[in-house]
Amino acid sequence: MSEPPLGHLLDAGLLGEPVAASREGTSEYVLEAVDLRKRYGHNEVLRGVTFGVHRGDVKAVLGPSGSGKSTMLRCLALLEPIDAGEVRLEGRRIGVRESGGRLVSLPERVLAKERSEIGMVFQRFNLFPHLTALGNVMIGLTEVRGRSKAEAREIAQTMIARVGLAERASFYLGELSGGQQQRVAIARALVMNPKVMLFDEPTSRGWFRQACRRPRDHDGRWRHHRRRPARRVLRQPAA
Amino acid sequence: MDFKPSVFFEALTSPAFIDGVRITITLTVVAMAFGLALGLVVALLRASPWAPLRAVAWGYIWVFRAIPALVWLLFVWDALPQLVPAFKGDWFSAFAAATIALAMNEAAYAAEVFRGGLLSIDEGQQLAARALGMPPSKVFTKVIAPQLIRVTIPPLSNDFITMLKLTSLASVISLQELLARTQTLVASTFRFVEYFSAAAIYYLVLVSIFMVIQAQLERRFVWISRQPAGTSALSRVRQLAALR
Ligand SMILES: Nc1ncnc2c1ncn2[C@@H]1O[C@H](COP(=O)(O)OP(=O)(O)OP(=O)(O)O)[C@@H](O)[C@H]1O
Ligand SMILES: [Mg+2]
Repeated sequence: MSEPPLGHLLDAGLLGEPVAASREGTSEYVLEAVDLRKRYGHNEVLRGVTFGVHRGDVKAVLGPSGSGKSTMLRCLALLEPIDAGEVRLEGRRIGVRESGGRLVSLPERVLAKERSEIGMVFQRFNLFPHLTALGNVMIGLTEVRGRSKAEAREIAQTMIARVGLAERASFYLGELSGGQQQRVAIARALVMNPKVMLFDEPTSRGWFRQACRRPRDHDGRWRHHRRRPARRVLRQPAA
Repeated sequence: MDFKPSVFFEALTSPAFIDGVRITITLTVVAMAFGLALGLVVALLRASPWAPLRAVAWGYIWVFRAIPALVWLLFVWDALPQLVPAFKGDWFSAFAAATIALAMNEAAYAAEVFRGGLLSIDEGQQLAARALGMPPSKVFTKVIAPQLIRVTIPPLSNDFITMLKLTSLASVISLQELLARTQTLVASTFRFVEYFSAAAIYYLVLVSIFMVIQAQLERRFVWISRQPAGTSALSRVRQLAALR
């Protein structure tokens, strides 16, 4: 209870201005949260979080440690059931379906399909230790998108090169630096071509900071290759 | 000292002995395979969100760790046919009874090994797999299982060796495995030293062969891009031997 709930922080206007505001296309939100609520026992972590992100927006959420940033992202990524509220992706409510006038959580198989539209980079990256950097980027393509091994390898190699790790493609988790692990995690999520990317603590490693400071270099390049996803960035102020 | 090398070597190479070894190996592998499969199921039930399933799994582990393997083996062989008519058929050989009894015994231990392995895998692994959009079956087979195998190879290898030795219990239900053959030959020759030594040698060789296989298996689960020096099969066996 001593930790300020995130909804409160957002109301207080602590939600940062977009880091790189380039609004293209419609005024429709790509990702929208409506009155999200989540509690763990007596700990009310999310107390009515409401916001929207446009295509191409980069938005950051700031808050002290333990204020619920990671929890909010897990809820948005459908990894954690919410107690109340809505998550909307391109205007469509996700994670639940109506059954006899009541809202019920979708079965895990269907949730999995919806999750594949949302990219997530975890605070601790959570790379798979039994796969190489390339294998980490390939696995979503082969196991979720149904691509052949050869196709997946080609696409993954391009993505790995784009995050500057072409020479490290055959390295395993234990052989990568923290920043390199983050880049693999970003590539693993981006290669799925998600509608939105969620980054948990992106500024904890150097590479993302650089990429954000030079949005035109980096994002300009992406735009040529693909629809650039809206990104919701989560960061913690320097302690 | 009464030790005749010629009798010893004759025992080592006798066809009856080698046939016993064959049965010992077959029983070990088959019972272990069923035991691991059942053990994995029990471990997954123990992690089930539904309490009655967890209770069933807990009860299984409780019972089968408590009952001595020999008692359970005799129960399966002698009592089960009286209880369940289906076990009166011709198919219910000593080998079948030993397989069932030893596999069920092993499953209780394997379940605990698997449970420990599952607990040791960071929760972030399944989160990341689910975030990519993998359905539960793929989360398990593509992400959890490889990591589970890696951490459970050493303890399950222990179980395998234990199983190899437990098969000798089946001699009491007249399965003609290595120990039963030894006892038969001893009864007719009274050459205890030579025959029991020969049997011991066979167990030693079988366990040694298995240790080489274990080392090879572990090598396949070393997740580094270049093979470091000094992890040849031979040096791994030496390391293992030094540890034991
Ligand atoms: N699975 C869980 N069960 C119970 N409580 C939890 C769980 N996950 C998070 N919490 C609690 O929710 C609160 C918010 O945690 P969260 O990880 O979202 O914070 P955060 O803003 O990401 O912090 P940090 O900046 O340190 O990463 C904390 O008080 C934490 O103890
Ligand atoms: Mg966090």
